[in-house]
Amino acid sequence: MVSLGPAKPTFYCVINKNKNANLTHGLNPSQRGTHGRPQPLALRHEALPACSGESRESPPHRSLLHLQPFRPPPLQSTCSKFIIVQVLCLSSCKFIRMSILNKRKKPEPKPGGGGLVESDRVVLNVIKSKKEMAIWTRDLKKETNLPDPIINKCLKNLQALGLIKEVAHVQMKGRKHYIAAEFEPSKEITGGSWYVDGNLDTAFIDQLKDLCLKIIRKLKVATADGVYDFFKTNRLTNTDCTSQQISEILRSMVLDNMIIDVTSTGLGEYHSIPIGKLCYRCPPAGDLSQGPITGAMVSIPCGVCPRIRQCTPDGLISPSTCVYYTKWLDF
Amino acid sequence: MVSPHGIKLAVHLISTYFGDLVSKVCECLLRKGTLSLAQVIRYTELGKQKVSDALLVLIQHNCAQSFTIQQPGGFGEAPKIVTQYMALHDNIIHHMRFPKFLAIVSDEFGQECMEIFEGLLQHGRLSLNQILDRHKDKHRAIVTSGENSTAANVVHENFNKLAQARYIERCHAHEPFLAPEEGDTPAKKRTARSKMGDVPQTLEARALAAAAPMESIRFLVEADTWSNATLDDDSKKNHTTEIVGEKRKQDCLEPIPNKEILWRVNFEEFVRLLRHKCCVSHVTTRMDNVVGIVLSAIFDASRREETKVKMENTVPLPMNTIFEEAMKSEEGRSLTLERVRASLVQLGCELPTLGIDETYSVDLKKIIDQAQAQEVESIVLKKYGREAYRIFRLLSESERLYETDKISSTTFVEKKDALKILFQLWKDDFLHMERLGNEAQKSDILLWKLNKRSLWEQILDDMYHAALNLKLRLVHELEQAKVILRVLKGKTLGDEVLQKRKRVGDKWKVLESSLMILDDAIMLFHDF
Ligand code: SF4
Repeated sequence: MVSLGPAKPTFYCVINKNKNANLTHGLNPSQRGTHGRPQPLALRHEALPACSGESRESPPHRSLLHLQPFRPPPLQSTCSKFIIVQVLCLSSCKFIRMSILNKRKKPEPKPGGGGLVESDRVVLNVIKSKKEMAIWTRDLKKETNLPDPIINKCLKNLQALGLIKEVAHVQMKGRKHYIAAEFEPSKEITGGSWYVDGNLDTAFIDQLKDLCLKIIRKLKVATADGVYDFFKTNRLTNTDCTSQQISEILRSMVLDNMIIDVTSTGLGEYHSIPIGKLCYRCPPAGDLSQGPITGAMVSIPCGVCPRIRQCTPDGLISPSTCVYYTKWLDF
Repeated sequence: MVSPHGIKLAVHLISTYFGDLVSKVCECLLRKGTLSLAQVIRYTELGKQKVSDALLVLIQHNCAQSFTIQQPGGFGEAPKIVTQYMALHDNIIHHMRFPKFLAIVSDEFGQECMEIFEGLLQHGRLSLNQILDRHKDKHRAIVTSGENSTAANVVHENFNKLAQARYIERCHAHEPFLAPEEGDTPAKKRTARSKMGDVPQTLEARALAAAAPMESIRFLVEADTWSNATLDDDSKKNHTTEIVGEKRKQDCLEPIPNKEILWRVNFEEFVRLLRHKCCVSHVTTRMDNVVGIVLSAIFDASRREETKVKMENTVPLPMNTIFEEAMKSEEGRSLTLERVRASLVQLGCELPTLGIDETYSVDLKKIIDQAQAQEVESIVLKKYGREAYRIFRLLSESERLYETDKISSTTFVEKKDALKILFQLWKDDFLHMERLGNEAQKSDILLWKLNKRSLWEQILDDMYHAALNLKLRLVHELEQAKVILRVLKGKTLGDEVLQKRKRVGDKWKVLESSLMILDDAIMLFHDF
């Protein structure tokens, strides 16, 4: 990276109207799909046109960092006269350039300010080194050997500068994780395509299941690709879903016993499906509404009794004193 | 090895049918395994007479089998012949199913056959003469002496029918002698083999095989038995009625002088029949009616050819035979050959590539496995919820280790929730868990697996437990009802009294029918 040296003190900063949209993992509603799903990364970058001819892969705020060998004062501080500020106006996509011609003073690194002090750099480097895996604050502390207040300040600072972002870890929701802004959190952290902000997108899943069921009912027998094609040709959702996602949904529906998987025999209903190919169909009529067929054990109290291990004929818990039975036989 | 609650249920059944003394001896045999008379006396601390009486009752009712073995004598002594006794757990549990067996016979052959059959169930074993006497006793009021021989003919005919249908069979031999196997004492051999796990044949299995009548005469009703019965009718009358009456165990105590052939109920045939029914009803609900009709036709056509109860596949049958058999039933009359063929494919049969020699055999084990899995799944669903049900079904698909993440992503259950469910299932012994240390994540990776074999055994034990509880609750309700009825005795039959009675009756009905349904499940897990 080329350093321009202290002779040309220029600082660019992206000011986003919606701070959250850029700085953290949280997305504003306009960036979410129909079902509250995040748009793909590329889409999000489009909202941030390269302010100085930067490519999409390296948004302006990120490149700026590397151009800055000195510590500029904080954005919100009063010494804005030293700075050339490039303001991005999202609605009009115009940039306003202001230049203050005053001679540059050597900035003092102010702890707690927006510039990168040594500690900031250390913290940032550690976070960057984790790439898309992100890092938990406690681990960060261990690796940097910095005291808590400093780390917190650094994180705040780096976040304010849009250099890092906080991500929700799907398995450890209570633990704050940070990731460098240029990385997208890995599948282990987000939970994969079915997760939004670390939560399973159940509404979306249920909607897909419902649609798949309707399609299978209509088609009687269908392969995963068949269902996916039906989705596409009939434009059943305005959300993008991949054929992989449809396969996953169908698989879970089989586990739910909503549909059954069969291999095609090539005969009768299966004539259009190659022999031996896995396809899906509804179980015989009536079963769907009832769910799985009730068994013998579940129709009596003992079958699902949490106390069965402690229940003995003459014990404290016994069939003759059993309250579950009394309730069951109360008619 | 019988599960703990299997033993408890058996002991309870024996105690309700034959009293505490017999049940004590039975429990001793069930818990300790095959024993000699002296050993039973030592363990139960009962008198010799009482123990041998109890053993005789058990043998009479086919709940125990005796056999003799040769044991090496002490120093300088000749080898001794010792009689051993073993409890037959399956047969004891069958006692709970007598109403089912009776219903089958009554449906198929009507009231008169059912009476003969009922006698055999009540007394455990009877000779044809005894059956005849029983019949005469019962119908003494209505049958005049002139009609005696016609009545006897009818009994004989019905008896024949039952034997031909294989619902009854000749009794097992009393105390067959087991020749010692080379080298080892039988006791040692048994333990060594069971440890090895391959169990070629236990001592008990050998004893049962030795006691069983030859297949060729198992269901044979000899003509001379019958003629004897009619000829010596009067002379035997007193003796037999006495046996049938109170001292029915007498015939086991001493060898029967005139070597009358004793008959008993052939439980095996009923288990087979119920197994067929279970398979048919399972495929009917899982697939459709026609598949059920076709499978039922296959069973009907191959009824005689089945060699054992737990047949893994049906006897291979040509397409024509299946089709003809299916056409015999009311619902199958409208079926086409194509439809039958499609049903066979649904049943998992492969179509022969060449049209000639089209034979089919259905994989019954798969059907039974599915039915068993369904029962366990329904328990998981009700006890742990839908998400657990999904997870459980995933794990039961293939018995391999699954990582928590994989489980969570395949079943669409939040990872945290999935972990909670998995732990709960693991705590209740539904799953097996393994930890894998993971340095990178500084935490253990948890792997989960379903061990069907051990879980199925545990479920069966729970079923025995539940059946025992149902029985005990039934006894409890009966006692409660007695109190209620005693209180109501003096009162006039008002609405309130009638209602109370009705409620007591309803409770019994619910408990009884639940027991029968639960028993179907027990059979599914144990006998099928
Ligand atoms: S009798 Fe009652 S307490 Fe005992 S196992 Fe059955 S339901 Fe549970």
